[in-house]
Amino acid sequence: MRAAIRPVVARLLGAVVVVWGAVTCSFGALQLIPGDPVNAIVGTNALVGPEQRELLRERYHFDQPLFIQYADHLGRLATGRLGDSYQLQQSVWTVITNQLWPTVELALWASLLAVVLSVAVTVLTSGRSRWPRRISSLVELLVVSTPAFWLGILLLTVFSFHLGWLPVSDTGDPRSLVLPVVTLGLPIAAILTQVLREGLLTALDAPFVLTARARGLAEHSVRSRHALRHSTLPALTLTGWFVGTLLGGAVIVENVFARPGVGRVALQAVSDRDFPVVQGVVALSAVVFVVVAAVVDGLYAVVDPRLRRRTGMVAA
Amino acid sequence: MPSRHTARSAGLLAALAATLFTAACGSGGGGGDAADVQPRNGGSITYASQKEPDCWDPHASAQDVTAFTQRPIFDSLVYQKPDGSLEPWLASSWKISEDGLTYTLELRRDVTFHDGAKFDAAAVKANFDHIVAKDTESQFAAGLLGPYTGAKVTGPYEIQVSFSRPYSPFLQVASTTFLGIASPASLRVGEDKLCSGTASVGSGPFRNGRYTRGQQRVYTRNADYDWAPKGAAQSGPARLDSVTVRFITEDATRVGALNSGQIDGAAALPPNAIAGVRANPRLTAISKQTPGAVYAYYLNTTGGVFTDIRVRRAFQRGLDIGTIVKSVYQGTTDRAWSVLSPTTPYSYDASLENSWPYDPALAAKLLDEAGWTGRDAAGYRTRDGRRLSIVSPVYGRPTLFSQAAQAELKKIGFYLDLHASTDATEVSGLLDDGKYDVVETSWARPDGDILSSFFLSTETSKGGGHNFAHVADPQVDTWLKAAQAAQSPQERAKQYAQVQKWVIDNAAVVPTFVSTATVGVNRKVHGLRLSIATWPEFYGAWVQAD
Repeated sequence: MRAAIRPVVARLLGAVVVVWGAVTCSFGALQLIPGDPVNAIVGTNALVGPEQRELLRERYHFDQPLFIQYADHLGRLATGRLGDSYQLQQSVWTVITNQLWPTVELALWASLLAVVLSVAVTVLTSGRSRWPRRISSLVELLVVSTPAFWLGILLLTVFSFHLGWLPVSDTGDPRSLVLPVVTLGLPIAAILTQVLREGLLTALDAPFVLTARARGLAEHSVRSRHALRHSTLPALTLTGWFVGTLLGGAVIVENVFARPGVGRVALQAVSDRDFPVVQGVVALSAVVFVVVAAVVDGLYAVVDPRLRRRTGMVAA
Repeated sequence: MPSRHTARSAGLLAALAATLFTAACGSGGGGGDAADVQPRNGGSITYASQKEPDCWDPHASAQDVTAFTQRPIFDSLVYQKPDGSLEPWLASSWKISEDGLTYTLELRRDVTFHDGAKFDAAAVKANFDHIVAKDTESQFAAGLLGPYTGAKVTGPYEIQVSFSRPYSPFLQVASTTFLGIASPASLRVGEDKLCSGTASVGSGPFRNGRYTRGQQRVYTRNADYDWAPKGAAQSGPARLDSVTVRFITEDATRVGALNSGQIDGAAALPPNAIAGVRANPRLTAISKQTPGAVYAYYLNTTGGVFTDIRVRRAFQRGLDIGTIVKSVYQGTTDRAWSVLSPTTPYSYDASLENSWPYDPALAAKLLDEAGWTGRDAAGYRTRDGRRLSIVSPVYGRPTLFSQAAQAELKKIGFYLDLHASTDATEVSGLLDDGKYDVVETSWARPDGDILSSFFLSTETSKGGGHNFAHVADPQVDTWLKAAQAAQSPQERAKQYAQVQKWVIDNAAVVPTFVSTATVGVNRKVHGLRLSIATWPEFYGAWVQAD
């Protein structure tokens, strides 16, 4: 029993340390900015007298020593309070939770597109004639090297401005999700395809594939049921990068396509110096990373039988 | 005899100005040619804004976009027409006491808020109290009230607003959305709700509809509306059933959406998109010069090289402003001669035009006299081995003008150091400590009193003011205070003219160009005009049937 609990406890402790580190770094980075934090709240185009500045200083505890501010900050986070936004004058929790679904929706569809597209392209183009693979590689390279911002504008220009097939910005119409999902999903699909193909080609040369073929299995079944599973292992390792790209890409995609979401709020908070919102988004990203890492560890065991207990095999 | 500025005289003035205005340009009509199409009720339009308010409470926010997006919901006591003249709105008339300290406003009796509450003096008092309340943390409205001391209900429909010194900008201030009148019950829901944009309850021609942050806000017609100011484009309820303001921050997306007909109007067209919109037969572009302080360099007169007036004058006359503006903005905006924009009502001093032309020979002579006679390897002037370098802290990206000016200034020997930073805190730190030679900025406000924020000796950057030139001249202070105390617009214009001339003569400021707001509109939308603050007014707009 104890043996089962120990890894879970270690995992949880590790997660807490990661989140604490992210929170501390974001707090520290914001302290490094020179100047009076009251100016951040007031902004550049305001008419605010010195007395009101003092009131703000008191209200947001800028008059306290740094260590006390830090301890306060941690204490609030530990009890689940993210503080209040300077500019929106609402609790950061409300701001983020209100904007979470559009981003999650976008990220889920983009992930689905990336995975389906990359698996399909990999299975169809690996190990057969050279031309499909070459063309596919070229397209992948193009997509990966195109900045998401530009890709988005390009897609908009063609499919929305000229052809008029899809709406330009989020109107609540499900069709308005198509271009943002493609913009966010395509570059991820391109990288995943390259990794998957590499894995699949290696796997197709492995003895077990020969065995499978010798058993008389059809080619598509050899590829998708046996070889593909092997090639997913390196791709799984990319999940951390994958999540980061989704979060960072959401900032760009949400702004280009005028969609609501956490990315858009984060960008606005950064440009408005809305520190509590920035810190909230950083904390949220840290939690997402930790959760995703845990899920991926679980997936390794699903995909790779050598990592399972009681299978009697030892991981090589 | 001291003048008693009554609503009636303001009304007369407004009528006169309106006639002149329509005769002179008639560009207020906006939209397409209405000649052969009859106005109709119904329909809706979608307008794309470049920005989205952080906080939707106009009493708390300092953002222009808050004032624009809340204008359809909130009425004000006074209305400022597109030409800048003031006329009654929720206040039917007003009297100013002889000492100029007290404004007594008579209010309309037929106004109801969207929540059904009656509009009366108590409601107005609740609004003033909310603006100055500590919890509101007002970033702008409270500052606009200046030497405000309090509001007193003197009758069910009469209110007195008092100041500690004469403050004639009050009526203009009262016309802004920042002093818009909200239903008193709605003010009690708490600042977080007011800021969230879902709890705005006013008495305007449109009601607050569905709002999704980051996406759009819908406005629905207020069918009971019957208290528009005389100078508005419309009377009675608005013609449009609804208006949707969508928030599209990305220029290319906004312009593309307009060009492809997916939206009916778009704010803030970038200069390179204006020609394309004008060339599109389905679209038209409406422009208006932004009133207030134009883009200008404010020279730090108390520290560094610019303490010497000869160096300041050399900077002022040695820069070929007209040529730069023409080449950079391709005719979409004009060069400035005064620190105030020509559209600033009753303030602009036109006599400054062409009074300080480009004169590189004079600039060179002045610099020689000031001892900046050497030249370094890069070609910049030096004195005692030190380069003639001027630091300009820039928040975000420098203007196209400044980037072009850098090369121009090199010709006369100045090194313009554009210290660009994306960090507002760092930049305002430099400003507060006076660690700069020049600040380039502009500030939209349809009143000459904007000069007070820039040149009153007490308006230091540290105290929240904008006296970047560090002007501390008793004469300038007297003019500005006299303008605030003067009750006739002509008298104020006289005082402001003296300030505008003084700051040019003393080379405290180098005005560069007048910012011009350009809005793209689909031709099927009619009657959309730009307010004095250069925002579209949806109230009078209508859309032709397909």
